[in-house]
Amino acid sequence: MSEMPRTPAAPARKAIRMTMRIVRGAIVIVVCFLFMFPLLIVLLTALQPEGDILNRGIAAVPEHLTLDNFPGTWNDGALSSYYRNSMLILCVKVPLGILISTLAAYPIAHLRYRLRRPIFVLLLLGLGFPVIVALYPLLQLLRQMGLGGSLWVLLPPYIAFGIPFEVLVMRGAFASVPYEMIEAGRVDGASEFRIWARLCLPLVLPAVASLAILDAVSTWNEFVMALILIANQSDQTLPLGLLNLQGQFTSNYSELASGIILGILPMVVLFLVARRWLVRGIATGAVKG
Amino acid sequence: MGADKAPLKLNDGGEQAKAATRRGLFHEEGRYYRWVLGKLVPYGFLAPALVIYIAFLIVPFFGTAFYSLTDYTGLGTPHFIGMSNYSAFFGDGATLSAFRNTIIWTVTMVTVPTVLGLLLANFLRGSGRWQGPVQAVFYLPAVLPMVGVALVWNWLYNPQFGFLNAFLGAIGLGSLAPDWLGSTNTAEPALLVAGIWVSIGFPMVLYLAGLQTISPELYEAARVDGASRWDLFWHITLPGLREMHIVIIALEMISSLQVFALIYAMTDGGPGNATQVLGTWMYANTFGFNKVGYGSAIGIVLTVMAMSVTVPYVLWMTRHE
Repeated sequence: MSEMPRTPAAPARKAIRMTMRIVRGAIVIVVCFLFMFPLLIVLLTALQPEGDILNRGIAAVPEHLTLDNFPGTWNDGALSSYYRNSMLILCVKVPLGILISTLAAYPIAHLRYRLRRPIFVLLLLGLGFPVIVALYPLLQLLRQMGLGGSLWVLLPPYIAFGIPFEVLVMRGAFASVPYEMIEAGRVDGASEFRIWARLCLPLVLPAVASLAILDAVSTWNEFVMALILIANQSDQTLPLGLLNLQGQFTSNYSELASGIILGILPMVVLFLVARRWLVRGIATGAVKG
Repeated sequence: MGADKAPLKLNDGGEQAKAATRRGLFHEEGRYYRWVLGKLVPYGFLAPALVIYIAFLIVPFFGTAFYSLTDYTGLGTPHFIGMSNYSAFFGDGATLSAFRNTIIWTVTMVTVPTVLGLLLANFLRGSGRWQGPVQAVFYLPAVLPMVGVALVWNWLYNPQFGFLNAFLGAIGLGSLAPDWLGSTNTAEPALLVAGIWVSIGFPMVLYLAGLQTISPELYEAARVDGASRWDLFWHITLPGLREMHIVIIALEMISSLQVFALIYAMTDGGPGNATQVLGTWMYANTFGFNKVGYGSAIGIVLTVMAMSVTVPYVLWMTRHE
């Protein structure tokens, strides 16, 4: 192409290319807008007085925009209690689960023993066990342990069902630590635990951070186990709270919409702040298996 | 754990230690014991995870498998009734409908979001400036609580005030406006649309990661040979994503077999049992109708379906171990 002499057609071709780019950009924006549309409608509903929705309809151009729906929903919906419970379980589950899985992933990546593959396979099978199938016996077991009437009934199953994915991600991270380094640690007489804690852990911290964010998202959003295991409303987590809102505000759509916005807001914010980490975690978790 | 106890439990009371010392493998028996202790190190690391995983994940599945062979109602003692619950499974119209809908979900979620995600990823890779924001838009639904997603769509589908019907009314088609989630014809497709909406981001993100591993030189070489864009996609991109196809299809199958929250919060299996899937139907039987035995059998069928994907997938993932 570059050897061709400039012809009168060249500017025209450039114009066509420009137009193509603009059209392409316009299509992208329209498609993104349509994709976000369900969320935008909820936001629009939350920002209008209930009367406007009922009288003018949601498809009409909004007349008044207001934030008045939010405080009422926060109080009527007891959202602070759901937020607190979700935050509590998240703050305990995520560090504990990652610690346990990070311990378990090290020997799968770097030690030699006969049951290595069978154990790895066993732990990974949990990726496919349908949570709901285990819940009846699990509920009986947890009640026998005396956890039935509290938020902490969620902790053991949350950790157990989180292990497969966490081990998968952390094993991938440990596998990228050079074997020579670990061998050098052994020659220096360090115990395996010391090698894990002092040599490997600092090197896999980025993976730990990604995993913590992914884990926080899935813990915050977990629904099935919370639905079945939690006995009292005062122990319910946010997804259950959202479901309650639907029953509570059956005909007050503005309040319901503002509740939905308040319910999904933390994840939207986390996503906007930590998108790169999140995406990286998903990709490494799946690829490095 | 005393050093002298470990080998006793593991084998033959020190005979092996003496034999190994005799053969000159260890200078003294103490070395041998230390060597055996070293063998236990991996299990020390694994112990917390294994204990929790087995107690709270594996054991409950065996509990469910046991209940599936009984007439347990949640009260009293379970009586063993053999395979009756399983034979009932295939004679029960609602259960078969749940089974069929589960297959519909799985087939839809494995195909539609995967193809759309691949197209998006392929479109995004070349467009540097767009990539971040567009990726964010399409992945956002995946990080929201599923119940939140359900409520968003419930509002859109609301028969009186929802946007869809308001829109139909505004363009003069108000008479056609259906009760999207309340009528048998529209409920399942309406759910599937919401399901697809949440599911597009995952394959897109994975395909984008996969595309980065394909060497640009392959494309250069092919272009020099005069390959068309279609040739590049068909002969380089698609085969280059082979591993990603396997990962995505397996994970999409596993998660769509388990679909629960979205359906529970949108239709709860209704109207009638038109949108029931195995997950919601198992839940209804076990926790709603107190038919723990029957619900457990449904659950075990679901587990077998999920495991028939998971086991080959996990063996494939660990093939280099």
